Parts: sequence; C-alpha cells; structure tokens
Amino acid sequence: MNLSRKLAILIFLGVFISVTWATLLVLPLIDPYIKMQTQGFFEIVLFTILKLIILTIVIVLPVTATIWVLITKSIIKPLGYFNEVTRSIASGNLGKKIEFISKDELGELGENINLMVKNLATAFQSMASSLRNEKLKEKELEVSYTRLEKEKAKDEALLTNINDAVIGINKDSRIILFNKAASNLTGFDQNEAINMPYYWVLKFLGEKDGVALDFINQAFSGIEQKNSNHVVIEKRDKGKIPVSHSVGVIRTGGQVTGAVVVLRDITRERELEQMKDEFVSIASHELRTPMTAIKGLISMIFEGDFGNLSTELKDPLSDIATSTDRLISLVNDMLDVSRIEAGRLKFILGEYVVSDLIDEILVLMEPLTKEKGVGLESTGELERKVFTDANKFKQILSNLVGNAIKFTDHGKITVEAKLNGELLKISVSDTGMGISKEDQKKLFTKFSQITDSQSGRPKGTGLGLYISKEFAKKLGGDLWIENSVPGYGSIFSFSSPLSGTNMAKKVDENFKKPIEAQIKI
Amino acid sequence: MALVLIIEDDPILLKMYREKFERSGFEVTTAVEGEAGVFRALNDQPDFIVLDVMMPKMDGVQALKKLKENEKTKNIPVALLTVIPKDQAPGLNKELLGEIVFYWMKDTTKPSEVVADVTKYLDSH
Repeated sequence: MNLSRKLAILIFLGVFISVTWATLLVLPLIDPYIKMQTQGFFEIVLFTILKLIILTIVIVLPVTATIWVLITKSIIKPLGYFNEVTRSIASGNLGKKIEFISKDELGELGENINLMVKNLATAFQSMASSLRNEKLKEKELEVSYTRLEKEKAKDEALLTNINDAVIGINKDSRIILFNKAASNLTGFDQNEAINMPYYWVLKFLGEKDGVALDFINQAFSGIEQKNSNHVVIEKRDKGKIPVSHSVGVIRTGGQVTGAVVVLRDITRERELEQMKDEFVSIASHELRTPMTAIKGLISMIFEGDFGNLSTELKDPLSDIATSTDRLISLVNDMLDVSRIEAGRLKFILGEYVVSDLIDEILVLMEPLTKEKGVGLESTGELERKVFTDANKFKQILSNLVGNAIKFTDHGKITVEAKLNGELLKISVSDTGMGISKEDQKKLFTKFSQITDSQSGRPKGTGLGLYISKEFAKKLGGDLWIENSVPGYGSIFSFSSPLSGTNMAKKVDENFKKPIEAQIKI
Repeated sequence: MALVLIIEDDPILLKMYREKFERSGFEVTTAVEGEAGVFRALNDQPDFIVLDVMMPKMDGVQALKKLKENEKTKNIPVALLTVIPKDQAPGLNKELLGEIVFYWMKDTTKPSEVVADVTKYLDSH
C-alpha cells in the first residue's frame, strides 16, 4: 500500500474521530432544537448513527479530502517526483536534475540530491576517463612490449647467426655477452661463459712465440687498439685457431665501463696467404732461373765464348739483354712489393758510416755514368753514422742514382749528405731532363712511369720509387722530391736516422715488437 | 788445373756455368742437388764449390751445413749462387753467412764475373 493511500486512511481516521468527538460534544447543545421523542434505545442509536453518517458525508469526507489534497501536493507529490528522478538516476541517467524549488526541507533535500548526483556524475566521469587512460596505457605498453620483444629477437638472431664471435665484457672483466660463434670458437657454452672473468674463457697465444699481448686489458686501459690478426686462440680442448681481433670500448661519462671483443676465425685466410706466399716465391724463383740463363748466355756470346759474333747480331742481342734486365728488375720489384704489403720484409738494422754505403753504390754506378759522359760524385757530411738496414739503404740510393742516370745525358750527378736534426738527409741531384709538375704527383705510386720523350717507351719498372719510399719510411725517414725543373734537373732526397739518436732507438724498438704491434713511424 | 764443383739444379744454367769455367781453364764436376753435391765434394775434393741455394730434395743451405760439418769438406771454399737476397733467405744465419766466400745474385751476376771471382780467390789463397 503506498504512502498516498496510507495517508488518506490516516487522515480519514483522524478527521472522523475528531469530528465524532466534536459531534458528541456539540450534540447535547443541538438536542433541544430537535424534537426529542422518547424512543426506545434502538431508535436513539439509529438516530445517532444516521447523524454520524450525515456528518461524515457532509463534513468528514470533504475535510479529509481537502487535507489529503493539501498534504499530497506539498509532500507526497514532491516525494513522488523525487522518487521518479532518483529512479531515473539510479538506472544510470546521471543528467537528470531535481527541478523542484522550495524553501523548506524538501527543497533542501532536492538540492542535496542534485549535489549528490553532480558529485556522483563527476566521480563517475573521472573514473571513466582514468579507466580510459589506463586502457590506453595498457595498449601502449603492449605495443612497446611487442616491439621490444621483436628487437630483442632480432638482436639475438643477429648475434646468433653472425659468424664472428662477439663477446661483451663489463668493467669487472666479466663476460656479459657471449654469442653462438664465440661458443663455437672457444669450446665453452654460453651459460658456462657468462659471468666468468674473460681470461678464463678467452685464451690467446702469439702466433710464433706463445706469448700474446693482452689486448683486451690494453683496451680497458685506454690504449688504442689496432685490428690485428696475428693471434691464436686456444680452445677448451687445446686446439688452436688463428683469429683476427678488434676491441671496442664502451664509455659512460668518460669512464670505460665495458668492452666488446669481436673475433674472427681466419684459418682460411691464413691458408690463402700461405698459398699466395708460396706461389710468389716459387714463381719468382722459377721466373728468375730462365732469365739468368738468357742473360748469362748473351753475355757469354758477347764475350766470344761461342765463336765470333757477326755485327748484325750485336744490336738485337743487346736489345735482348736489355729486355731481360728489365724483366729481372720487374720480378725483383714485384717480389719486394708483395713482401712489403704482407709485412714480411725482413730488416737487419745496424750502424754504418754513410760514406761506406754511398761509395759502394757509386762504384757500381760509375761504369754507367762514364758510358754516358756524366759526372758522379759524393759530398757533404759523409763521415756520419746512420742507423739503418744496409741493403735497403743501398737499394734506395741505387734506385735514385739509377733514375738520375736514366734521365741525365750530360752534366753531373751529385750525392750530398746533410744534417737534418736527428736525421741525415741524402740528396741525389742531377742535371737531367727534370719532371713536370703533373708527373711529379704520380711519382711515388705503384707502376707510375715517366715516358722517354724520344722513344715514348716508359723507363724503369714503375715500382722503384714506391718501394724506396716504403723502405725509407719503415726505417724512420722518408723519401721525397725536393725540386725538379723540366730542362734543368731534379733533386730527390731521402732521410735516415743518425745512429745513437732517439729516432734510431724508436726504429730499433719498433722492429723488435711483434708485427701486430708495430706502428707506422 | 783447378777443379770446380758446381751444384745447380737447372740444367741450362748448369751447362752455362760449366761452359764458362771450362773455357777459362777449369776442370768442372757437377751435381744437380744437395746430397749428390756433398757426395761429389767428398769424392772429388774440388778446389772450389759453387752452390745454388734453391734446389729440390736437399737445398743449398742444408748442403752448406753438411759441407761445413764434414772434416773432409769444411775447408773447401764455397760460394752461393742464388735469387734470394741475403737478408731474405730462410735458414741463412750470420754464422753460415760467415762461412761463404761469395754471395752471387744469379740474375745480376754474369758467368764471367763468377769465374773472375773464383779465379781471383784461388790465385790469392
């Protein structure tokens, strides 16, 4: 039974009882005006009931109705309205507001409900938006996670499939990264190697003498590392593999915090190098033998060992001899170049009075200069001692003097020794045809040749100056063209450290180091 | 007449040197590799030995060692004929080099120079 009906009944009862009481009080007052008949009790009761009924109809009902209507309007209806609105709100429609405006407690209730709803709405909204944010963040996280996973998988795949061994070392010298190739190379499993000090897993030996530079340690100490390939790694099973290595150092804020070592198995490269060396030495030997025969036999023919030589044969035979000489020079030069490039040139260092070295070459070259009518002399600080490889020094000098003779038809060639700090500078100057600026640029490159202006044929093998310059540099000096004026002559100079100087010491020490540690002086 | 032993594996070169020495008044005996050469030296006791360095089987350096180790041959003067420069020859240490009288680079030394050097040496010793 709803409020409205309850109210109606209560009001009715209230009014009815009040009116009845009022009537009972009022009745005796009215009685004298009404015909009082002495009737039986029954009639009095009937009469009273009749009066009550009339009163009820005439007074109680209207009054009840009025009061009911008033109360309904001011209380029940608003409540019903509240009910409606709140029901609507409860079902999710937070936009509904209570419109009722009155200044009493009901109005206040309405306002409070509105406020409550507003707060609820706000709370709900912020909850909804945070929920949305959460969902978004989650989505983003998922995306980054997937990306990271992909990257990680890619890196792992890369490291696993790379053929070079990649080993990461932290600042405590422990291995933090060890790829599959590293595992294959060393014989240690990845999980065995991780966290071990690197020197337990990576054992290096020098190629020749069993002692290897700890280049990883050097890298940590900040010493610059060359990529080198004269080191052998000892596997777990004591097998040995030649490797080429390079170390990259990781720095954070200027401090070394780790290193990455890359090793490559160069067994195959080694084999190829060896094959090449064997080929070069066999080839050069094989080539020289027949050339020696040609040259030797021609000289014997000229010396009359095979009977008289007809004059027509002299020229062609002479040309054959010259050609053979050129072939021989070429083979020697190529062999030198090959040795220079492989770093297999042997140097025997010592102290020499420079005049001894110079004189040897001049004596050798004299017949050629005499033939051409060109003067040949030495001058300057000839008593100085140099620290060098005698054969190579002589080779350089003979190359320069030989060139001078080739390009000079008259005048003279001078070899001058001059002091230049810790070095002795040897200058070979001639009064020959000189070299143009353009040709000068190409001078020290391989196979550069200056053509004979008359015959158009190139002179020389084209390797002489390249080789001489390499020798000079390796020995602590250099080789260069001082000056050359076409038509007047040229001056070529090379320098060599004086014995007993710091430079000489540097050169000496450099050659004592294993090849991989040798620096370019 | 002085006797020269030429140990050289290339037949043409061998013929050439032999020709030159014989024309210059020498007696010549030959071998084409190291072991046979040492044998010849022991047997024939030459006055001079001309030795090629690069040969099959026993090469010149080993032959030189053997010659200098053997009482009967160690005093015979030996000169090396080769294509390898002194400082690049494997196995040729300072000691061995000291035992050699001449070091001729085959490709730049004429046969006449070889003979001249040997003649001069034998004349002064």
